[in-house]
Amino acid sequence: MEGPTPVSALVHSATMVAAGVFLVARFYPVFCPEVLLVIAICGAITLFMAATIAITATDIKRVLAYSTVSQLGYMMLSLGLGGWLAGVMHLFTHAFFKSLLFMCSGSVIHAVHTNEMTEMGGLRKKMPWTSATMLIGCMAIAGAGFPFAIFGHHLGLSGYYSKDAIVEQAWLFRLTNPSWGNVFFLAAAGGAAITAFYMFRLWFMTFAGQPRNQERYDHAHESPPIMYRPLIVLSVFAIAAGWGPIQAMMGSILAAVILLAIKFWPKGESGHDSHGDHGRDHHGHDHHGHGNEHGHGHEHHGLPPINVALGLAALVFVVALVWRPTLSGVTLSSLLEQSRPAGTLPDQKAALLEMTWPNEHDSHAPAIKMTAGWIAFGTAVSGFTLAVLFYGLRKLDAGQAKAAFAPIHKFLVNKWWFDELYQMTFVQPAHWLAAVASWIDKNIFDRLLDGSASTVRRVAVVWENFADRQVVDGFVNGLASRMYATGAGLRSMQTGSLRQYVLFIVVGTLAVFVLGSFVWNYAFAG
Amino acid sequence: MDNSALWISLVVFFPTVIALLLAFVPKGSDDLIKLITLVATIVTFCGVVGVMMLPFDIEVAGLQNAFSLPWITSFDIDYFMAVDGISLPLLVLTGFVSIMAMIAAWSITKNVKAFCILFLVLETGMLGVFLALDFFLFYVFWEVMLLPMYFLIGVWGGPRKEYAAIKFFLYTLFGSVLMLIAILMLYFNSDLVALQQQGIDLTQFQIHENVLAEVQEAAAARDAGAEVAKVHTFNIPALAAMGQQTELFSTDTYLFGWSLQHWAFLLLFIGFAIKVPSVPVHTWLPDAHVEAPTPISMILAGVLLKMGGYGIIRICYPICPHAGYDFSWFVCTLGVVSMIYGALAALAQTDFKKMVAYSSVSHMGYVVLGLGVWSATAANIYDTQSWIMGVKGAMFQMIGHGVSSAGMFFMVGVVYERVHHRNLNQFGGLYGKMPVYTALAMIIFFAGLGLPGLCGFIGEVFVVLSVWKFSILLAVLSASVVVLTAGYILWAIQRVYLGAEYKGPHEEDLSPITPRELSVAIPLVIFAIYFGVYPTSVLKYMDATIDAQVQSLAKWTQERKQPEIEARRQAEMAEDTEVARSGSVKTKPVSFALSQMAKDQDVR
Repeated sequence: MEGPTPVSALVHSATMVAAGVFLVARFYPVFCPEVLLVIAICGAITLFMAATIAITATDIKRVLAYSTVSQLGYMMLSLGLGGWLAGVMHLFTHAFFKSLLFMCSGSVIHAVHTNEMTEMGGLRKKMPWTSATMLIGCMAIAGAGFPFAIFGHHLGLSGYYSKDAIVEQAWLFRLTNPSWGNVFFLAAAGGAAITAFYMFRLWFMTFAGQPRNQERYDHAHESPPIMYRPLIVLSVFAIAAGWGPIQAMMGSILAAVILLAIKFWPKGESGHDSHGDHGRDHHGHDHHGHGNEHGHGHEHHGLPPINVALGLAALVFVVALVWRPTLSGVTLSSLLEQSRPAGTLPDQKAALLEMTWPNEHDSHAPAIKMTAGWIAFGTAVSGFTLAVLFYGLRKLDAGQAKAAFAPIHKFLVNKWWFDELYQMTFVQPAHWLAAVASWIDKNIFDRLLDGSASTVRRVAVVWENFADRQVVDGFVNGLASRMYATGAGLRSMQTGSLRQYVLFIVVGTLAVFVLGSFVWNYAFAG
Repeated sequence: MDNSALWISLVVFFPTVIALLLAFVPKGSDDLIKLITLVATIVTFCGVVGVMMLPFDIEVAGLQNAFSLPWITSFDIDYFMAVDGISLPLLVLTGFVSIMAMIAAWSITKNVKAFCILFLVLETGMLGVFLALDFFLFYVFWEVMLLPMYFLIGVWGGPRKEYAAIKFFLYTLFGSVLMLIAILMLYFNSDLVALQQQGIDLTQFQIHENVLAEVQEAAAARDAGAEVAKVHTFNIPALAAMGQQTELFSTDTYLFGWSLQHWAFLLLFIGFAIKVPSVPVHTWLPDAHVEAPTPISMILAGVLLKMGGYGIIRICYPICPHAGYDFSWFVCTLGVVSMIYGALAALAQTDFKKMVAYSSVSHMGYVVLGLGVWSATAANIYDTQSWIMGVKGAMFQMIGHGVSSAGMFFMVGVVYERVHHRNLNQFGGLYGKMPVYTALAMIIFFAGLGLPGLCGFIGEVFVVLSVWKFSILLAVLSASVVVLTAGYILWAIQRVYLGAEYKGPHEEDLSPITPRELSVAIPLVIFAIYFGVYPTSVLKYMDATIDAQVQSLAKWTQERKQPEIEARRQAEMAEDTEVARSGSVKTKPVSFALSQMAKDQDVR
């Protein structure tokens, strides 16, 4: 989300998002039903949690980022419920409309130099291309489409096909496993309502109503063609990625009708199918509310070249009609069906649980499709209606709702305190452990080492003092001093008196003879 | 044979000869001395490549270029050197890192002559350690390498250089004393006669004629029933054969009922673990690295640490397989603890260089872990695949870490030379001032992180994969270290290179990287990428040798260790059933497959 918008578009639609879901989809045969249940639970929690966070976010990119997380939850939920194709298909269609939405948000940010939707509003008149394409993106992600079959075929934007397939699978799962199934279905259907709500909240806050920051509004302008042309390409895919040739024909007829309606609409407004009414209301209001000089110019050359679009619609119709037999096999779902991993279709009974994972193809049975389709439609419309009431018509006051649900709002604005939770459970303990490791190094290992070194030094000093000074030197010095003392003692005999010396000699000689006489006696006696 | 004796000796001692000549160069001509030293390291590298690497036959598992000349004949100590798949990559790495370090040493201005002389002597010591196959000769080179290192840290180091140098010296000396004890233990219990009686041809170990005659004589006398003294040897391959083919080192038991080889293994392992370094004997490394000048840090991390790993794979395991088998849990746990501990300690550092130093502790933990994974016969399935993976992963990790850690220390040195501090919290925004440097540094740091496609990844991933079969717990722990590694490296990159422009001390000295520094950084970056993209370029040299060594140890496990354990277990079982029969204790059905790993460890 903090990355530059094109990077966000890439990350949220293709690279990172694709990696996780793609991995699960590729490894699908590895997962036993119990694992699938875990995946589904994770998906349902993610889907619900992220959707609730997106409701309160005011940063336009943050709304989209959490919407991506929520859609990922959808994909995981679908994979976990056995809806392999539905999940992978949602990954695919989501890539188109989410990159479209991000690029649109980039275009808006480029115009107003802020991410905050509380600084935007009324930009529809300044940025017709961006607002129209973003509306298409919002409708696609909300899964806009006809909940009934027309001549046996369903028509809707790309998100309609994948999201409805997911809701259908959840409904089917609910039929076979009522307890868990209810939870999952509630998540899927409720998520659809919340999705519609926050997406249109985003659109209305950005493009409809009065500018909340006049200065930013005055400086706003449509992005250059290099920026909005990719949006058009992406909206084409966001609309038609799920279509086969029949849907293409139906779609081109519908587009032609809408285009003609716009062309011959009395005031020549750039309204868009059913939502055009609301837009027009406010547009008119704004128009009078503030200066004409900005609004007018953009309005006119902002109008899509309707004749060209009509021609294209006709061309699409003809191509689809002519190549219908050839193209009928290359719809998105049939292409994905080809790569379905072996062994994922049949009903799977869980070994440890009393649950059965239903065959995905059964979810396309008319009874299920109709029920689930209407429920999905109903929830999406209710979410949309709520968004209209709050942010479109402003019949309800968002601020009041915020005040009424202040604790919940705070909880959601703080993203369920997840960042704080992670900070507490992972980041802080890691830093703490790191500090402990480094402390042990300094205060235990090194202290032990330095301690033993200084102990050795001290022992050496003591030993040197005791062994060398006391014992060895003591012995040697002691001996020497004893000798000296003996010498000194004997010195007193050296009197220098000749008489005394003669006396000593006489006594000595006598003593020698006396001693000798004992020896001599015995020696000669023998 | 004489040819290889001449050439290899020339390569090994060439740096020393140049060092001697340098003594006669007048003192003032610093640049000339540096140039001569650089040329000497380059010539040595060319010698290593030309004499050892190019003629190396990658198909041959055994010793190549082997030669043995009598040195101290009284004790049959030989001047015995050879190259094989384990030593060759490390020799080439030594030559390469020496050149890089010498270029990085251009910024040294104090006592250049002495520095260069010590540097060259150090290189001879390093090459000699990797080449020597006589235990005594190995020990001599090991010590030769120690002294220059002591002075290089102690004279040219940072503020606490004396402390760091003596710490390094005493630590390593302590280890080498233990090694010396082990050498003597093994020497006095070795017996060439017993080896020959196993039907092993002694000539493959380059044993000299006179010793062979002695062996013949003793063997004849022994056949005649006489008590004849053993014929001892320092020959490492012969000692390895004795460790694996005979029971010479395991018949007598000492303290704790451990046999001689358990004690020898432990002493040797401690000596090598200090060098690796492994927790808890690693604390010399952060100090030595922080205080050492940049080129010496590069040598220290790039080459010297690898000697620990080399010693473990070359000496510990082949000579003491019983101990290796019984201590495999100890060794592997130590490896994992080092990895986690080093990574955590790195996370806590505020000194850039100290962080890189602790990252070495963490990364070398992979080496210990990979070498210790004795999974030849895990759960009674005879398959050496994962063990081979572990040993090769460890060897590759040594080479990869040699490139990436030398690079990281160099990158730290480059910025330290400019701003004269290493405080991670005072950096930031170097990218703006030194874009080329930052780009190269990031590649090197990512290589250290173990990003796929760079040299750090291959070793780590093979080690982690190999551990799975040995112990799932250790595998999970070692794999999760990657998160911590990413944590401290990315955090450091963020704090040093990204962010607002640098406004710390010596801001004005932050000049772009110079051509001389580029000539170090670029080769390191190239090899970091090359080894990561094409690891076969390194692995092919070690394949045959490591396969053969692991196979022979696996064969030993199957033929000698397993029956022994089986017999001991039978005896225990019999005891158990007796107890059960006689008393109230119920016999429990033992699930062999599950309890075997745990039991094997309890045997000793």
